[in-house]
Amino acid sequence: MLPESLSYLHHALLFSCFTVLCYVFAKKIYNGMNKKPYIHPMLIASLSIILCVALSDISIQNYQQGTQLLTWMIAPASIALMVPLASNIKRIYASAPAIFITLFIGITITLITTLGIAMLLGVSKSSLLALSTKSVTTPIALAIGEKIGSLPALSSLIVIVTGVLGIITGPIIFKIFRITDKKAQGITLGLSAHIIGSAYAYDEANAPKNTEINHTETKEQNPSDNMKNQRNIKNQALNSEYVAFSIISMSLVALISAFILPSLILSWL
Amino acid sequence: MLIFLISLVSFQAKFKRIPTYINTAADFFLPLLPLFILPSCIGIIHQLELLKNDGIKLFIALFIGMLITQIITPLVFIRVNKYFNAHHPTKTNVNETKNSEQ
Repeated sequence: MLPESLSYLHHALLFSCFTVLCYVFAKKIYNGMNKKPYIHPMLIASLSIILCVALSDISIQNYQQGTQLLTWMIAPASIALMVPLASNIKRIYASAPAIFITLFIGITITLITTLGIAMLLGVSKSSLLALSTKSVTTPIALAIGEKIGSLPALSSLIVIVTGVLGIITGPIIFKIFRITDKKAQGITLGLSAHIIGSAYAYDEANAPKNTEINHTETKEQNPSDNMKNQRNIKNQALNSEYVAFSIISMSLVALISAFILPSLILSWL
Repeated sequence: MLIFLISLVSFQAKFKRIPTYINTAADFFLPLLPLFILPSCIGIIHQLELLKNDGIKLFIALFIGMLITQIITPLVFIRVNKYFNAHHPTKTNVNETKNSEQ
């Protein structure tokens, strides 16, 4: 038998390495299959880990204890999100009125449609309360949930499902409705998929090869270096805007929700 | 987060750039963000019992709500942004329009 501290280290190493391996594997599949949204690494890795944990005799408590190191890293990574935001602050300031109006309309639509449909389907009140905090990150959803009296476990479950669903449906909708404006895409991802949406936006913006850019490049024959550089700079700026707008959208949705959601929900439901 | 953002913006306003070591740290952490969120996603496995009663209904409501939001939000943003750019142009907007025209 291993002493307790060694056993913890053993679990931490085993489960953290297993999670990293699953993520790397899922990312390889995603990159290899031309980045189809429905095989996003978050989904594939989550499903494969859930399957392994369910099929083996590993308890989920042990797994979560073992991966605490990875979970702790969310805090510095969330703070690091402020860097792309700060470097695009002028662009965000220039679009501030549009951002506020869009977020106000977006939050209202999300609440009315989701809760309205859930009410029509006859969902219980406790589930409705948990559903109302779907668009914010887990810590904020839990804080709001405490005020409105929703089940914390159900709230965090809905938040995660919303995030993963948002990054799967988002790119498909942008393609179908031909939404090419990167700012609009960023705002939508931040609003509908919170931090998972922002992480997705960063990942997409910093992908080594952007298919859209390559496609346009192949259309033009022998573009000069100067033109190429200019286009690269423009693409970099667009990608950086995409990330920054998703982060500002996520942050503002959390802020607005934390202030207005509790009183709104308590008076409505 | 807010304090960090304010410090970064102030630094940028004074020195016209973000410190290199902060950029390096951000470049390390940000690509790994989905990996850090992953263990929280796995945590949902022992909350699945909560979905016994309303699971499918909740998913339908979430899915339809998500689709409607993701269709309407970008369209609203594009329209409103266009309106503000045309009626209240700022320096940044004017520069952007000039660049796109070039």
